[in-house]
Amino acid sequence: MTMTRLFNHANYMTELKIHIRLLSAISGLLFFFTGCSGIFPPKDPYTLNMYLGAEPDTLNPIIATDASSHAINLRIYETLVDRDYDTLDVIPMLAERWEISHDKLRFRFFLKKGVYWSDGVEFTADDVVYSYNKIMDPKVASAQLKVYYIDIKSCRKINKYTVEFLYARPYYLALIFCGGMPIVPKHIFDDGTNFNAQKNGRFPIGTGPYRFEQWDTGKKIVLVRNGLYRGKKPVIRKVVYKIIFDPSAAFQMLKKGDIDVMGLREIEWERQTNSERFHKNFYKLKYYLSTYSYIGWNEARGFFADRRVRLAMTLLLNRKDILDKLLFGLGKIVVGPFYIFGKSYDHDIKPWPYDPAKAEALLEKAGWADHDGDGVLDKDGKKFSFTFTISSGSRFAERLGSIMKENLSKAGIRMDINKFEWAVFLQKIQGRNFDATSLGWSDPDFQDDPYQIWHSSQIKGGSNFIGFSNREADRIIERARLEFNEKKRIRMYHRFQEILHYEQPYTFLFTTPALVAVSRRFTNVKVHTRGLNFLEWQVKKTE
Amino acid sequence: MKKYLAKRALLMILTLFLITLLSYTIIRIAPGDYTTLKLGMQGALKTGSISSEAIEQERKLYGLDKPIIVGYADWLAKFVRLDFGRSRKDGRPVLTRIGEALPITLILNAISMIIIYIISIPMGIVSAVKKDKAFDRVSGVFLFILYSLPHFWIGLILLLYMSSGEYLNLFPLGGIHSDWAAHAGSIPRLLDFCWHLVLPVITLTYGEFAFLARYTRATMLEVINQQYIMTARAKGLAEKKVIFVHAFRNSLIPLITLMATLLPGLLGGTVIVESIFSIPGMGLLAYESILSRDIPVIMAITTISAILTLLGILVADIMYSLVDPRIRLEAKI
Amino acid sequence: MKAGYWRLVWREFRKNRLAMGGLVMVILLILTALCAPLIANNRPYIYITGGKVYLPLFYGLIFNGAEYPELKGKDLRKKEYKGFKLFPPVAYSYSEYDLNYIVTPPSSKHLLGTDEQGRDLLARMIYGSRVSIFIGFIAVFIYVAIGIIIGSIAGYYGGWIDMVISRVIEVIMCFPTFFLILTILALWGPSLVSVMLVIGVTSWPGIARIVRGEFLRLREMDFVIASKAIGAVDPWIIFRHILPNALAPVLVSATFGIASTILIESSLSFLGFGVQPPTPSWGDILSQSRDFMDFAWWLTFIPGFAIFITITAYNLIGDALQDAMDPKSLRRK
Repeated sequence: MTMTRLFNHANYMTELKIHIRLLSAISGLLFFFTGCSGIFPPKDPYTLNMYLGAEPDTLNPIIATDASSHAINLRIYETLVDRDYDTLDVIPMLAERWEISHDKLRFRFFLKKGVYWSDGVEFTADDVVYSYNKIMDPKVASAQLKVYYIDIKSCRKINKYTVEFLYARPYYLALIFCGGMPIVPKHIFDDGTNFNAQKNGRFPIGTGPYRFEQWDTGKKIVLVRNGLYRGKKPVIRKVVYKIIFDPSAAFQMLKKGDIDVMGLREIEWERQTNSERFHKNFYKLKYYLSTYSYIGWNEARGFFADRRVRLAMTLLLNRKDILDKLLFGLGKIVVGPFYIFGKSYDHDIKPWPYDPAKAEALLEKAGWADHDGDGVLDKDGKKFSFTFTISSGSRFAERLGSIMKENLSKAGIRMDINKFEWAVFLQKIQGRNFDATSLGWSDPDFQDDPYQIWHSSQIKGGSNFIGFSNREADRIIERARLEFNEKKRIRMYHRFQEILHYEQPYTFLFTTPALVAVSRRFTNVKVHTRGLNFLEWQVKKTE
Repeated sequence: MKKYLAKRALLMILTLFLITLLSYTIIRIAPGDYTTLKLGMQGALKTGSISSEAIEQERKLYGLDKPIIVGYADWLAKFVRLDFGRSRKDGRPVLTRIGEALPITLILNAISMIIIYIISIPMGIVSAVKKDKAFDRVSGVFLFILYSLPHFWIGLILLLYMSSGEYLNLFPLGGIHSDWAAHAGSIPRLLDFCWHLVLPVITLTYGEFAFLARYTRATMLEVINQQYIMTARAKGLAEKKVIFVHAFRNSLIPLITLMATLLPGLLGGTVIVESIFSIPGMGLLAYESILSRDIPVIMAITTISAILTLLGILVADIMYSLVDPRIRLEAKI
Repeated sequence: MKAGYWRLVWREFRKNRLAMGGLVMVILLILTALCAPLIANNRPYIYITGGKVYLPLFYGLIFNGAEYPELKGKDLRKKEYKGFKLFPPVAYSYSEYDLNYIVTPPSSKHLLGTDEQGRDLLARMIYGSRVSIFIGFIAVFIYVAIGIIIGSIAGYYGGWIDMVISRVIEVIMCFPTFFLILTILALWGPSLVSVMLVIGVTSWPGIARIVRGEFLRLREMDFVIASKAIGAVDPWIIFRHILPNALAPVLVSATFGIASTILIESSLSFLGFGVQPPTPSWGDILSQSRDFMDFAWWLTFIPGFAIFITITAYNLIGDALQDAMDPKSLRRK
């Protein structure tokens, strides 16, 4: 009897002790951490916190290919010329002036004197020539740039502050291309090590308004003001790019104030950022860049070789409805590849309407009808059933695909959706191994030249992966490249757009604006044609 | 014993060889390679055409034009010299990248393991001692429920409701340091680090209590019903002493053995928790290098984790046999 | 031995009320999955108008989605179609979208609310159960079958066959599963079938080890040696004796395996590598909900809860099975 009671009592005590210990530990910790927030130092008002969705591979501008590196390098490195933020005119940056030869083949840049890299060494023509040589060097991983400079025969130094590019053929964008070539400091990179792995890819040195301070792998990259910058000092002293993998977490951080600028998605813009509190703390800015989405129909595959079928597909998609409901009206339907607010875009061309009846008629004329009564269109015994190939990262493509599938099945066309991991998806696209896909093109430099996407020479191995080939279009593209008179070129591009509209190699979808929230900590936040420029932002004086 | 160890070591090397060969082959066979990705990024997002010569040039740079066997032999040659090569992504030595990610994962997992043990074992003991009573049943069900809640769901919910500005704001939104941490002293930095780890650790551990607690309970029950325990009680020993000194000590052995098999898990991260909480650990490193076909990093991670798993199995087998002489090692092979 | 054994197990199992609840839950889920098109569909079972009787739902089921020629393209839910209509309990299909009802909370029109394309969540959840149930059963069936076969061979023959198979098992166990899954999905294209195959191929070693262990243990037992002594070397008889013993732990492992398979599939869908749109899967719905977590609670809680309940049900069953098959408890009978 005694033993059992002892037994119970001892156990009860043990249990109690364990529970009490656990409980006090937990509450103690909670107390501690919540109380802790008081001791954290306040944020520095002159620091701008930006958001990076992915970590850059490298900050070497010649090798880097991803958007994150470009965004950061834009503030560190400069190029010979720049584009005005509003008019897009070519303006001097590292070159104070330039001369173009009469035959449009020689571009001579006169460099500004007294420009210094952030380590104190002067910037000279040697840096420019060195950079060009590196870009074209077969041992350097710069294929994405080599393509742009393939028409340049040489780049040579005339004297310490003068450089000349010689083109093989005239090209109306030549000035912008060679003037926009990334330039790296020769005295840093030319040290005998492998250029691709050179340690300055992790520690860039530039001439721009900001210089690199620190890269905390996986966490953040920090820039501070460049004391040696020759131009006007920006008000913002420090820029911290935070690497956040999860976009929903990033959105929460924006609302909490841990980051100051972020691009919003349509649904976030419409439904999740409308509180008074949000408006009090953030600007909501909207502006259109040169970007558009599309559905590409692979003309090498039987179904889509016929123009009538492609047009029917466009007619079967209610683009207006998708734009209004799925994208909350934030965007515009486009009919061609040019920037909608640019001069090359022909506003006289109206988008094809949503017209399933007309689509049916077109399909019938092309030979597709339900001959065997099974609900699916067929022709010569073959059923109209194809695959829509998309990348697993694109929510929009997924939703678009689901909508398309429903619409098309009502018209008797069977469509399956295949979602692939990005690497695999790319390989399929480049291998022309798809029926239809949805992607987008983005042109941050507002260059109109359609050569790379639409010229028939680019079908094999280039970006013309849908196989569009039209002799008149080819001729227009080739002639436009040589046409330096803007008005004439615009007329050519308008005609080009008409051809595209008639042929429908893509079903052009939408151009969607950048939707950006910026913390009201900053003032003088203006929207330009090229977007936002935080170099001009001021810091609001706190009360 | 020595003969056994030697034999196992040889077999391990063979297995390791097979694993690395298989990994390398699969990576090479998989559609998509690093060059397509790197250049495709530009091609798909910017107006740029990539000529086939440019692609071939790049592939040569990365050794992707060689046949699989040659490529593997290259890797093997460097591996035996402990040279893991350079990451394709940023050109830095693979060991550097792993060296950055590993400590974080290590710490996270170590803390998690400690917490799991600290909470599960007492619960298991008490459940065994009070078998079928209220505590046993309630805790059993509770732990069971925890075990069945999906990680990614709970992680997201915790992040949303505990860290965002909208609801509670007790914890940071991920990452492992606050902005000011670099300039603070070491004590605040340590505390800040712990604060950041609270939610991820909760997400990693809540589901694991069940297993260990039940295991402890089961072994304790087995031991408690043994003769020598009844003898100890009959001798009049205090119950607490009976439980902790005799019963628990004997159930400790399988628990320790278990730890050896959990060892390799210490170095793998979980992709899901790391991606939700933006923790730059091994899980994300592995995930990202697979998606970007960064062969040197993938090979390094595979090899290291394989070695550790094999070692873990070996250590567990040895400990098990040391502890229980009835089990002969020979039968284990 | 067999019939009596299973009856004993069943009797023991039935005592566990929670587990019985789990069993009921699983049966309900299976029924829901099987009858999904009959429960959620935008066509009526029966439609009588103008003296003619139509069975649109069944017509569609039999003729692969086709419609009666006279009814083609008509949404019979609209008021303009007069006549007697009998609709399934949930009058929506899982893929029909209505862009006017994007992300709406539960209401009388949509009992569980809608997703980001205006699709009814209840309908999608019902169809999503198919993925969970089928993946669970089929994947586990595949790997259990493979595991039993290979494990038996290894355990029975021993010697170098066993050594080779054990090495293969080690290789697969050491291999980073996630990597293998991603690669296989990349090679085959993500689909229900690929995910099942992948899980099947990577999980059989666990079962094989169990079966092999049983064989090794029982081979040495008296009755086998005795049979051999009297000349009955029939491997078939030995299989008949050994396999049933091995089945018990295999069954338990398989039940837990179903739960973890469902979790793996959800996690893969969550990361974007699961079933193809527009096929719904609970993990996929959950992953899509991340964007709206702060205001669309129904898109997060409902699928998460469904996964949780399903996994709990299977775990309860597995747990109770384990207890029921425990020789100690059976002996007490």
